[in-house]
Amino acid sequence: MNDFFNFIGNNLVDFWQYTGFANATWGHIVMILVGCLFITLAIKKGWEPLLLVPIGFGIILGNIPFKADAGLEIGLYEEGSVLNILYQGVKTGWYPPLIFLGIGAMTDFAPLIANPKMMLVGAAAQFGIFAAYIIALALGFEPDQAAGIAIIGGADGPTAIFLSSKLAPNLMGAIAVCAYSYMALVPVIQRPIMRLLTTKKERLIRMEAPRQVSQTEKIMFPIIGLLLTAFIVPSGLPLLGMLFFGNLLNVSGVTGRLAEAAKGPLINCITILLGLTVGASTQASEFLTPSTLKILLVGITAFVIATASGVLFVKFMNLFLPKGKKINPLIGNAGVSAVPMAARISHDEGQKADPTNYLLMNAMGPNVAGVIGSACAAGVLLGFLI
Amino acid sequence: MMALATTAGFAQGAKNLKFNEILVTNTGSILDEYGCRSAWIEFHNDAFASANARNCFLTTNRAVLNEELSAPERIKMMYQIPSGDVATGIHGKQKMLFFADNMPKRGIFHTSFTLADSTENWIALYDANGTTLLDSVTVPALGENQSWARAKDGVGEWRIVTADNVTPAATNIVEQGEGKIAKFKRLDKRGLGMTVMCMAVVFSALAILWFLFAIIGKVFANTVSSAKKAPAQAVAPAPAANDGKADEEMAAICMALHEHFGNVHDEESDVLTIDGGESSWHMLTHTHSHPYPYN
Repeated sequence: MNDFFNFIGNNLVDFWQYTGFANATWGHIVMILVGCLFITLAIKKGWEPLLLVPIGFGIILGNIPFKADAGLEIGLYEEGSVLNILYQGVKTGWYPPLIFLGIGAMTDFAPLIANPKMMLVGAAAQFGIFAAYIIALALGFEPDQAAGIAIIGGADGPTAIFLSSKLAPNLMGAIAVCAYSYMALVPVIQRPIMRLLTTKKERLIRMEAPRQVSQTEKIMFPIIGLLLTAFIVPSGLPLLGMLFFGNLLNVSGVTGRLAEAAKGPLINCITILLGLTVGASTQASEFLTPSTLKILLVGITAFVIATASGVLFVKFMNLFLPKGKKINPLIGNAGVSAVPMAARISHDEGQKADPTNYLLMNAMGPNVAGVIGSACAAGVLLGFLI
Repeated sequence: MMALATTAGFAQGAKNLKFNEILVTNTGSILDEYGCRSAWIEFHNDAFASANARNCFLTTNRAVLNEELSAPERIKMMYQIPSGDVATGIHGKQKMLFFADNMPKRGIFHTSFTLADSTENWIALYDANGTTLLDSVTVPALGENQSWARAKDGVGEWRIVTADNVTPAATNIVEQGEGKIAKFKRLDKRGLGMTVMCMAVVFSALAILWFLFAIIGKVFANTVSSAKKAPAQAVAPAPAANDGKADEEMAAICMALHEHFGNVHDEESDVLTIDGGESSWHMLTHTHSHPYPYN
């Protein structure tokens, strides 16, 4: 009888050692709280819920403590576990191009085609990336790690994951979470900078509504856009190719079903898997390090500089534009590729200055140019450092 | 059927297999799995995709060059790489080594011929059909432990490599230079060079796109009917030429945007109630322009 109770007792002790309670550390608790915070922000504040809910839940999922040496094959970093298999799309970088396929199918490039000089605003905002590269180097990161971190300044989650998976795989979790978190915070980050860098008079500038774009121009854009950008930056081909292909599906007029699949079920599925696995990759032991704090610092600086670069570049362009053709500098912030959030902020700020001024369609031009610009920037960095 | 038969006669991706390095007199180079030294032949898969050498043929017999020979006659003069072993697969840009020791029973990487010391050797690789020559090389007379190797894997010029520099089953290029990242770290410590270069490339790409679409836009702007053009400003009075449709559309869009962004849409309770008060909504005289024909 005594043996029986000993046996039961030993089993219960063994079982206890497998539970999360026995294996929890303060790091796990902190990360679970961070996950809860993300979910709260998404639900209560409505900040990028499609991203923050999966990422937040993924953070909780990835930080459930368990006995690591038990061979349960459940951890994200354990070869052959379910989460590990799903994580391969992030690790090997094939989720981001599929996301770009959906983005391409959802994006209307008409405002950019109608006013192609907005491409330059999209290019100028990419300065945030390279300024962040300089800062990351100053903080002691290696050039490849610095490039992986700097891409946060493009405000483009898939591009950040794509580049960091190639250049800084050990920092990818922190970079992805940082990129998506700051994208959710774009309204908070960008507004004060826009107000600080513009005068009341500039905010009142009215712009002509973009002209109507023909179907032929819409079809030509993804083909010419791909040929040109991919010839210059072939290393960005996975992202640029899928972006323009998705757009062609949408505008060709004969592949409606494919476009619907790309911008509906496909992007939704990949977003779920991407968000969840990126969140789960932030295990406390990997995430709670001094490097993460530095990445958070560089990331926010990159967003600030990218926003300022776009706004200041529009002001610079205005020096050369005739009266009546001037651009409202409030659309400069949209040069980052947070589509369409950044364009909405331009519109909101414009309306605060003049409720009858509608900047949304004008701001969409630099906004979609920013998507192309950040993909090019990622390709250039990859080309120089691989 | 013919097409199928032809396809079956070729090894998977074998056309990318190239001779890369050959050593004839092995007295101090690599040992085989039996601890013996013999001449060796190295292949390189020149593609990024995997290839498989199964069923391909290796030979040193120049008689196979006679085009009048039938496939069975050629095959008798060659060593066929056996199928059914995963080891015959070669990943992209990887190497495979065969020992030319005339001991094919020792394994798939042991050929049924040897290479002749101190004289010229001709070696050829044929595809699985026995007639398609994939690659061939004439190896000059070499000294002990010298190899005949390409300067660059798969494509470079052939040259004699000294005993100290032979690279069996490894790349022929042994570089010990500074990597790209190390160079950036040393020469561009602050990242200014990278910033200038990258911004220049990104700006150039988008500026060219701007230039092209500015031209295309000018060409196509004329083809789009001016009647379809949106008014200059959403709230500005529309030109008299408009038929009024654009105004209505813009007004509807503006209203929707105003409600959406201004958050001025009235709050709905989501509860449907029926007011008990009398109303005349059901009266036929109110809902029909003509009274019902009561017969």
